[in-house]
Amino acid sequence: MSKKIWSILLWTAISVLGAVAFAVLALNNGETISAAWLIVAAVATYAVAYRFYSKFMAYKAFGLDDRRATPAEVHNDGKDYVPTNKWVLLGHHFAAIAGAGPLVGPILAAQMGYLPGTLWIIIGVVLAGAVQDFVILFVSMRRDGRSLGQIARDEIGPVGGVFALIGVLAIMIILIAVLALVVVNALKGSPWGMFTIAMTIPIALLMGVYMRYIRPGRVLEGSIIGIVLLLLSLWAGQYVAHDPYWSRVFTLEGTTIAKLMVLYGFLASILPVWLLLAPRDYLSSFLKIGTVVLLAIGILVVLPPIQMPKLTRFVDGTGPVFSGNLFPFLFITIACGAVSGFHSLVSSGTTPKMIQRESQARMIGYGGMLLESFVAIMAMVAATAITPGVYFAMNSPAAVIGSDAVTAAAKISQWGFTVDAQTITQWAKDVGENTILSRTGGAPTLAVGMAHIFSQFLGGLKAFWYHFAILFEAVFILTTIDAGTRVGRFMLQDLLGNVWKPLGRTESFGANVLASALISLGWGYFLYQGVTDPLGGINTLWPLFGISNQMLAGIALTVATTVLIKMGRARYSWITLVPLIWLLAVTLTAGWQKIFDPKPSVGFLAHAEVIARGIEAGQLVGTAKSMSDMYKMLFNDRIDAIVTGIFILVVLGVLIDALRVWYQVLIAKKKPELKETPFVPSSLQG
Amino acid sequence: MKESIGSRLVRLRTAIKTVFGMPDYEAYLERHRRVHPEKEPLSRREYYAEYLKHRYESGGPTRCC
Repeated sequence: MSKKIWSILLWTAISVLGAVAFAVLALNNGETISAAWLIVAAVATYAVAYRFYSKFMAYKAFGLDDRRATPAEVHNDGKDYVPTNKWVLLGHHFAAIAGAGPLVGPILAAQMGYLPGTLWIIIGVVLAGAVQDFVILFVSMRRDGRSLGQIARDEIGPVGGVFALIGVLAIMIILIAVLALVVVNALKGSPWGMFTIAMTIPIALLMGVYMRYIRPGRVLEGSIIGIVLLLLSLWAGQYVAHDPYWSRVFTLEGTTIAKLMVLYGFLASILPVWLLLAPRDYLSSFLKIGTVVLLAIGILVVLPPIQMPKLTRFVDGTGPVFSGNLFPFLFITIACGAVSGFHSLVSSGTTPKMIQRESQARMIGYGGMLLESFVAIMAMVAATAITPGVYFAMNSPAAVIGSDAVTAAAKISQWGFTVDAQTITQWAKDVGENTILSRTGGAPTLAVGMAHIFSQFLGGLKAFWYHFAILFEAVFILTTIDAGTRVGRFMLQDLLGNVWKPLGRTESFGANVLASALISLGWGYFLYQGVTDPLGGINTLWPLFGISNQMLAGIALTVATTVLIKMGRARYSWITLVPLIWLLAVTLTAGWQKIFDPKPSVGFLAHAEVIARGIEAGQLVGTAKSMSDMYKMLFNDRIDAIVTGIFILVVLGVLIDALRVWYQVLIAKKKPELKETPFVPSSLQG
Repeated sequence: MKESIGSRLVRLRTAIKTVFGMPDYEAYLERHRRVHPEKEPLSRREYYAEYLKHRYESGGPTRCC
């Protein structure tokens, strides 16, 4: 009895603490507050949501049952199906879902102030993101760990299944392009960063040879050697940057880096995995988990004051970082961290095959996503802890603020974020870069924020920490790129195999090269378009990424709702329907506006119209330098409009096919055919 | 009964390998001896090659954004 009273007291205290933190965040009027309030608001909400909402879902809505054996227990083949300790599996799952997404989105969203983004991250994850990860994990676990595409085909039908597959492939291409653009923007004109990242390739090759021939299979050893070499090259980078000859060799234009990256993605996809892909993957996982933990400790120790106001004037949609109003564009700018459709692929991939007991899906699915959301909160802290003037100097395109510190400082101060040219140049000098102006894409801002926090926490030069942060982001983005190109290649071969059999043979070198080339050129096209875009590309492409990722979440939630209805649990289907309806509202509005909005800064067709009129009149528009630039821009706008249109059609296709199934079960009262694997009693005790 | 430091270290190493998706040859050997005691197990090198092929050639995403 007394235990129960304590529990009530404890959870009341946590709820009150969270409410106080939200009040401080929302009611604060102008004075600087500590990052602690952001963290308390987030963690208290996560705790309450986990304790109550996820428990409700686990036992009331889904009916998790520990008497039922999981696929890991039934098949236990030592390869895919391996019962794994829940904490270890949580780590494995988190390493698979965490990436650059939750770090970049909040940084871009900070242009509207810290409040809108923070609220969306916290509320979004609790009601949408973590729900999606958990429900898909549950559904896949009840189906021997089948993939989202297979589940869509089994539970909705072949039409929904094909749409889901096309959707996954399309989001993959946009995702890779956008992440690659983040890296290009971080590395262009930065010899230190470029050198360090370039060194990761020979280091990975060396690790690959070591782990295959010198000490076969000793991956842990090889990875430790790799990390040491990587830190050495990070340290050596400063000498490269100061050397007159070598600094010129490693100072590259954005377009050159883009071409190199496409070539790299293509090669990584056709080379044997042991040589490049696997070693890089291990290197990046270590760096990722290590840095995320370090950043969490750093923020908790330093608790930096938040410099950004809670709301800025840019909530009206005129901001320089991304265009469009708060609704819907804030909600697609922060995709990962609040809700990320991509996670549904991981939750229906390796993780469901490793769960020991059904009840653990709650901690791994729901809990894992709460962790990712906390990463997004940390990114928000890093972005808002630096001076707003510096933030806008880094994140506004050159077309808006000009390309020298004096003009930029004047323009930004005019917006009400007072900053002088000297502060801007001093920051550039402190972090060891030639300039910090218009380093869009989020990664450099996060790096400045991390340098700001780490130099207070661990000491050391800001320049070192800045480049450490760039290295860390670039390495795991590059891993997403090479792994993504490879996965895209398999998917494409799967699709092409339906058209002509030989193209589907994954072991055939010719088919392999063809599919890899198509995928690399596919994302390479969007990357190149982004790099040459006068607005810096992020402005145009990040919304496409957000829309596609959220739409994939919409597809996943549609599949999950269908399963709940077919299980006879329609009365709980609001759990997935509420986030589904919200995501549909956000993504369809955003998609529609990206295509048809009359403002050229938002709508692709309106922008195309402006260019077309320029071409007719023989006048160059914006930063176009020639008529052929103009034709390119016109073409790009139209392609972007078409791609957005395809996303909309795909998500509606899945939805309509699902509605047919819902109708049959709920209204026509047809007996549903649920493709769940049969019950096998678990032999695990207690 | 208290767990020895040695066996804790072994568990820690296994955990690290699982989290980062690394091959665990010792676990494979242990399992192989239990399940197929009559068959010769793969060498460490063969196991590694087999593991990578399985992990990266199966077509599912291993990493997210």
